[in-house]
This record gives sequence, structure tokens and C-alpha cells, in this order.
Amino acid sequence: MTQLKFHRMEEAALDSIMDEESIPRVGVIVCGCGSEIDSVLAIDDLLQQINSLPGVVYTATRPFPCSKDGRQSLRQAIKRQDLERLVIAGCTPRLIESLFRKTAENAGLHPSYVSIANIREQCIYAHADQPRSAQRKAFDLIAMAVHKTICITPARHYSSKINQSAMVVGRGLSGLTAALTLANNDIDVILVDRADFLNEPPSPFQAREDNLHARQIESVLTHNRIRYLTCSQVTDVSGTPGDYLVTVSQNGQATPYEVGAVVLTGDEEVAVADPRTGNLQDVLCDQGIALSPYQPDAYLDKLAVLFHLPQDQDGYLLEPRVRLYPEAVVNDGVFAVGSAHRPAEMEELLLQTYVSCGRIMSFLKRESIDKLAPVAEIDQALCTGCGNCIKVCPTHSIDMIQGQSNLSLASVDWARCIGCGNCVTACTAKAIRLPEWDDLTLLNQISSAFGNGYGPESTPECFDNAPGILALACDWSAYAAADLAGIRGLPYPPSVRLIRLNCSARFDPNMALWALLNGIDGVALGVCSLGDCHYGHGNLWARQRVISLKQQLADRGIDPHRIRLFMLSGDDAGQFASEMTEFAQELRYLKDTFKIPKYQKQAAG
Amino acid sequence: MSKRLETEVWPQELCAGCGLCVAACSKQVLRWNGNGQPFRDTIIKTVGYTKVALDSCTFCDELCAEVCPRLVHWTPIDARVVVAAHARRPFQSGAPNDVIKSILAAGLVSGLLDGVVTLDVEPWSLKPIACVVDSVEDILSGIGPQYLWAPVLDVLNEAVFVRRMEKLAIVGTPCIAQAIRRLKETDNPRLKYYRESVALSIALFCTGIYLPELIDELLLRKYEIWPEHVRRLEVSKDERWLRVILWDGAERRIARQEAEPYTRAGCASCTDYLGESADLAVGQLAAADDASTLLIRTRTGDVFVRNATLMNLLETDGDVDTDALLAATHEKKKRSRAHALKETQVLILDALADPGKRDEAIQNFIRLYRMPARSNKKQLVLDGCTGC
Repeated sequence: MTQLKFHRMEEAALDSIMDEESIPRVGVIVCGCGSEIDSVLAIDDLLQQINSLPGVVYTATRPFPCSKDGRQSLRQAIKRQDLERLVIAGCTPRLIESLFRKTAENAGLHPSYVSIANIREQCIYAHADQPRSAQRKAFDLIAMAVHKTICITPARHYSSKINQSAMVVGRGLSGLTAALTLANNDIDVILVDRADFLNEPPSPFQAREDNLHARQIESVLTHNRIRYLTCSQVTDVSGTPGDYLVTVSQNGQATPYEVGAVVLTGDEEVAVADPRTGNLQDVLCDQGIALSPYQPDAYLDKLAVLFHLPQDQDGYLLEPRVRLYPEAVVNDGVFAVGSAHRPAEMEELLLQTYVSCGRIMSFLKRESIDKLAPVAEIDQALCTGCGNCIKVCPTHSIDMIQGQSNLSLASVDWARCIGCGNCVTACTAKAIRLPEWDDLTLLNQISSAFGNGYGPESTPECFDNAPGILALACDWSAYAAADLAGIRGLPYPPSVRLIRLNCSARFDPNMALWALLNGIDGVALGVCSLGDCHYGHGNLWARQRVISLKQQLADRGIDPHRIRLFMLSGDDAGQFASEMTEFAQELRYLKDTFKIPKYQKQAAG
Repeated sequence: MSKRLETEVWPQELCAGCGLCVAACSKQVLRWNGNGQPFRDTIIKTVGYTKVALDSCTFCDELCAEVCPRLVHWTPIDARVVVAAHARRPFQSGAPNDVIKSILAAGLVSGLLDGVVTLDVEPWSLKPIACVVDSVEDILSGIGPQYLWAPVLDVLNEAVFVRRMEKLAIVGTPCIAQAIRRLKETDNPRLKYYRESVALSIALFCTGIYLPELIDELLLRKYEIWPEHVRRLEVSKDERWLRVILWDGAERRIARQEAEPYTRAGCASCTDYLGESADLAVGQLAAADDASTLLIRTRTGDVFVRNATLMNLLETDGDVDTDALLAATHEKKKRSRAHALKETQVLILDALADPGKRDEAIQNFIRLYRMPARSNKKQLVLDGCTGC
């Protein structure tokens, strides 16, 4: 018999990761933007203040850092001063970030280490009439950028080859057209057909006068780049975009095929009887669906499950970005055409097919997938295998893989990850990190939005008598709208500090709580309008999280109006300005009723 | 009036589903909502034409908060003895369920027990049920816990107050053992009857328990295994597979990954793998093929194991791979960080309303997120600042 003692696990040393010595060397360049910025701000004072920020070793002002000469001198500064991080205070990152990142990369600095403080759109343009507030806000914005950049995690570089072949599933009009178009462009195509169309009775589509179908079949059968599999079904899919391994079962025999892209199309052509009149409609559908009472074939459900594609309420494959990228599905490398999306007329069907073929060819012609973009990374030492991330991933890019011990741990497929950050928010152990948008950078920015330390004591009392507002802004909507509001000069309170989020799915209730705990009066979250999210349903996730956070606050007797969610599109500057003004008014009313006494604020009277 | 469960447990998805709060509620207003989640029912009183919703939690004894296993941190009870156990006649098997049955049968025969509250399945539909058993025959013919969730302690009232059992054994997952431990540690006189009726708690090693939907959706629809053909479910030794053992002796394997989505939400935060609060903990990990690992944590547990050994129903010998046990414990202990994060979230919410807790909340938050050190002093001279 063995004696055994189970000691309580010692918690890992969770000391602060950063002491004074390990803070990287930061250079801050304040752009004069001709004379637009320095005509409003006292640049010298600003530079003096910036010098007190952690890690800042170099400050300078340039009239046009974005010009050719300006970038040249930036490169020199990085090399001479041996800078490890670069902060540029100037115009909006949406406009200029990629340019400066390229410059930094040329100078040997990782692109993720460049941060932009948006003092032009959010400060100079927006609050030109209140120069003192603008000065204060400019400093805060720069401080936020510095604090962000000192603890940022750089994005990693990923790369993989793309297999130069495609698989077309289904041999409807769209399937045949897609196969022929791709094959004529020198791409090897495997055409998977559930039946054998040579031995089938002609459908109305086949019987059409122009005999398109017969001509297409003939070309398909004779084309040397098309491999036609009859009586076969897709039974399993693995691999990543550009390198799928699709198992096709033909006459009960399973064969794996390696392909770079997969095209899902409707399967059979049936003209549909109008349910009201009983006449055969002139509508020609891939699969016999003209009106919503008809459901797509069960085979489509199976394909959707295999390829992890979202379906709409009728069972068709969802186009998540229908306004931006019509005819596309969530995953790269999988394309849906024709009745896989919705019933369509023949002309529309062909148009869709050609659009998709163009996409497929440009996808395959890239030859390799190179990604220097934020991809969720899971810390296996912290992952607890709870599976929350899997439930929320819009692209199903997370799988549970058996770890070294008894629990399965999550692991991310980088090629499928779109970097929305939903899993990071959902992770209970905070074991997932999204480079450039990780918790630490965002929380550190929040702490420096108004003050210098942690906690309400460190937050100065005055925001020009206005309540302090933290606006977490989705890059695609609220952030763009804020820029536009600045350009148009729409007034909103200067006590608003914007933090850019890649997607509202990255909004973590802990951020809002941390902001309130730091003495910020209210937190606004600007998200895309319904159906506009670039990452699927990030805005809905954010809304759900805000609702439950509000409930939790209300339970404790704190007014839930301190959290505000607004939906807007990227060009809706007016709404942004009015939401902010309204929110400030609301908070001013709440300020007296807030249960958090602002220690010093109240003492100072 | 206690609404701690409504703020700290249920919305945080911590609920283990043990059912003790529902059983113990002094006003009988806690019920199951059909999704395995307890909720507070509102009682509506009709006075003439007027309907009044009663706030039933007023003047109650707060028994739910007193018994909920998720509201406290547990220090493991150190294992006194770790052995490999094998059930002898009539089972001749090393399966954990058979080891448990041996111990229970011995206890019932010798009068150490007069009843057992256990998790079982309805053999036709594989629907998990909580049941009270008082005869050896029922123990022997039952299938035993099958990693499928049912609120075990829901039937505690039946056992204690209806059938008047005084020496109960409770068999279940580690969270059930935690609930029983809470029950035993409280000195609330209103919980006396429960406390005094429980003699023994046995826990199975647990990585998470599955919701009963697993049977319909995964087994039947995906794998086309009919519930009535299934003899029992088992988790393979390396915890990678869910083994479905059929009555005809065949075995089907399902990857645990596929079953993962059916895990009860409250399990995601559980840190207890080895039944650290139970008198006895049994599981397959770290044991040889025809044996189970048996952890004896208390003297009570020791007595029951001795009893079963003396009655020749149980055989305890052989070594156990303790390294594997430790590794498995460690893996689940990582969840304490998730716990700490959730607690900090609650703490921040409290701190917003109560300035006294603010420093602690800030310190916890900084530590958990490993935020860089900052000086709280105002170093800045803000020339542009106005409004003061």
C-alpha cells in the first residue's frame, strides 16, 4: 500500500511580468501634420510630458512623418536610438498604420511594435475649439498608445502552400460551369456527382432549346483537366484552406483527395411548379427551390456540417458578409455557388458562378497562404479544457486535442482563424491570447486613459467638468465613425477616450469593470449594425455580454446605464457624436447618484 | 433572504447540478427548469381578485447558500491509503462501478448502511435517474453511475424523511461529495437530519459529466446505437474514448472530443478530479486492467473497505501509478485560475458598490492579468488641465 499526500497546488508565481528594467525602449514621434496639429497643441509641453511615460527614450516632432523624407528619418531614428517600440501621434491608424508598419519593418522593427495615437481626428479636428481639453486628451491618447505598445504581443508569421487543384461538389448548371471555367484556366478539377448523369432522364434544364447542358457535359467528359466521379459523395473533410483532404466515397469505396479549394453547388435541376398555379415556372433552379417553403436537399446539411459552414433558417449556406463579399462563405478555400446559397434564376446562377470562379482562381494563384495577422494562440499550460472557445468560434477553427494528461485541451487552426477574438473573451482561464489585441494591452490602455496608475485615486478629478467616458470602438464601425465625426467637426465631449477593438466580439466585460474600477464614469461600446459584422456575429455576442453585465451591475445597485451599447455603421458620424453627447449628459446626471465615491474628487469638492 | 446562488453561482455557470439546494430549500421554492438548472419559483397568492407574488426568500433560513458546494474552496482531504481494488464474486471485475457495488453490498448486509442514494440509468432509454436503494438485490442489479447527469441529491428528502433512512451512502461525482462535505461541516440545526443520516460518501474520478442529451443526439442520431442495446458506458483508461459496451459484448468507441460539447456547463470550472472531499474515491486511472484505483480518505471510508474485504467481496492489493494520479490532479487544478478570475469579477462588482473592497479587487485583478507595475503617484504636471 502506498502512502500518498496530495498537496494543494501552489499557485504559479504570478508576479508582475514587467519591472523597470524590462520595459522596452519606446520612441514617440508627434506629427505636426503640416501645421494642423501644432497650431492647436503646445507641442513642446506635450513632448515634455511624454518623456515622463514609462520606457520613452526618444521624443521628436516632425511636420510630415508620412512623407518620403519623413519615413527616411523615422528609419534612421529607429536605428540610431535602438528603438524597440514606435508610437506615432498623428492621424487615424485606419489611414496610416500600414504605411508606418512597412517603414518599421524596413528598419528591422516588427510591424506589430508600431502604434498610432490618433490625435488628429479624435483631438485636433474634434475639439479644435477647446484647445486645453485637446491638449489634455492628446497627452492621454499618446499615453494610451505608449502603454499599449510596451506590453504588446507581436503577431506571428504563418505560411503554407496552396494545392493547385479544386473540387466541385454537385453537377448542376453552376457545378458544370464552375468545373469548366476552372479547368479552362489550367486548374485540375475533381467533379463529384451524387448520381450518374448519363443515365438519368433529362430534366427541364437539360431539355432547354439552347442545349447548354449537353454541350457542357460533352466538354466536361472530354476535358483532360476534369476528373469526373459518378455516384460519389463527400464523406469526410480535414485539413486547412489551401490544403484540404476530402474523402469521397464512390460505390462504397472511400478515396481521399488533396485539393486546394472546394466549391459547393446545388445538385440537381428541377423546374419548380408554382405552388399557387401548378404551372411550371420559368424559374430555373439548381436544386428545385424557388420559394422559401421548399427546403434544400438534406445532402447540403451534411456538407454544411462537414465543412463547418453556418446555415440560415431555411437551411441554405449563410453568406456572412453578403454586402461586402457576396457569394462567399466564412472559410477561405470553401466557396458556395448557386442553390447552395439560395434559389436563383439561370442568369444569376451563371453570374454567381463566374464571380466565385474568379475568387477561386485568385485564391489558388496566390500559391501560398502568408499570414502576418493576429491569430488566437492558446497557452497550453493555462488551458483547462472547458471547451467554451469551441462553442463561440465563428469559423470552427478550434478543436479539442488530447493533452499530455487526462483532459483534452484546445488548439487553434491558424489558417481558419480570422482573429475576431471571441474565444479570448469567452475563455474562462484567460489562456487564449490574440496578438496585438491581447488582454494586457487593452487593460493597460484603459488604465492610462485618464490617469497614470491603477485605481480611482490615480484618476485626476477633472475631465473639464465632464464625466469620463471610455468608448470601446469596433474598428469597422464606431472607430471609423469617430474619425469621420472629427473630420466633419461634429461636436462631442472631449472627455471621451476611444480604444480601438478589432471586433466587438473582443469586448470583455472585465474591461468595462476595470474601467469603472479605475474611476471612469461610463463605458460605451460601439458595434456594427446588425448583419454588418465582419466576423459573423461579433456584434450579437457583444450585445449579449453587455446585457448580462448590465444585469450584474443592476443586481448590485449600480446604475446599468453606465454601460452603453450602440450600433452604427462606419459612415454614421452623426450618430456617433450624438450618442457620445447623450451619454455624457446621462452620466452627468448619474454622477451624483453613483455609488462609487470619487475619494479625492468629493473631498476636493 | 439569500440570493447568493442567483448572483454567484447560476449566472456564472458554476452550478454543479448536485441538487442539494433544491432538496434543502426551507420554503420549497427552488425547482429545476428542465435544462438542469435550478431556479427560484415565484409563488402567487390569490386574495379575492388580487394576485400577489410572494417573495418567498424573505425570512428563510438561507439553507441553499449553506449547502451549495460551489460557494467554498475545498482543501483536499489527504488520501490515507491508495490501493488497487478488484471486486470479487459475484462481479469478478475491476470496473469502478463494481468495486463500489461490492462496498455498498457489504455495507448493507452488515448493517453499516440502510440505504444508498445513487445515480443510475433507466436501462431502456439510458435516461439517468437518481434513486434510493435499500436492498442488496437492487444494488447488484443496478447499472450504476454512467457519466450522465441527474440531480442525485434531489432524492435526499425521500431517503431521509419518507423512508427514514439513517445510515445512507451517497454515490456520485466529486461535486456530490463536496455537497455532502458541506452538509457535514455546517452546524445549522435545520440541516441536522440530513447531516446525521449520511454515513458514507463515495465519489468517482470525474473529468466532467455529460448531459442526458448525449444519448439521443450523439449515440442514437450520429452513431446509430440504440439505447436499449447499451449495457453500460465507460471512459477508457487513458480518458481518450467513451466506450459503449453493448449487451451482445461488442464495444463501440466514441472520441471524448465528440462528447465534449455535451459536458455540463458547471463542470468547466470544477477543480476536483479525484473526489477530494469524499470518504472513498474510485476510478480507473492509474490502475491495472482488471482493477480500479481506490483512494481511502477518511476513517469511515477505511471501515467500509475493511468490511467489504472481510466479507470477501473486495480484494485490495497491488500498486497504483501515483504519478499518473498527480498529473491528472494537476491538470484539473489549473482551473483554479479560472475560478480566481470569476471570483475577481464578482469582487469587482462588489467593490464598485463597496469602496472597502476596492484595493483587494484591484490587487487581484493586476495579479491575475499580470499587469505591469505602475506607480500610483501622479507624476504629471498637467498644464493644460482646466476645471479644477
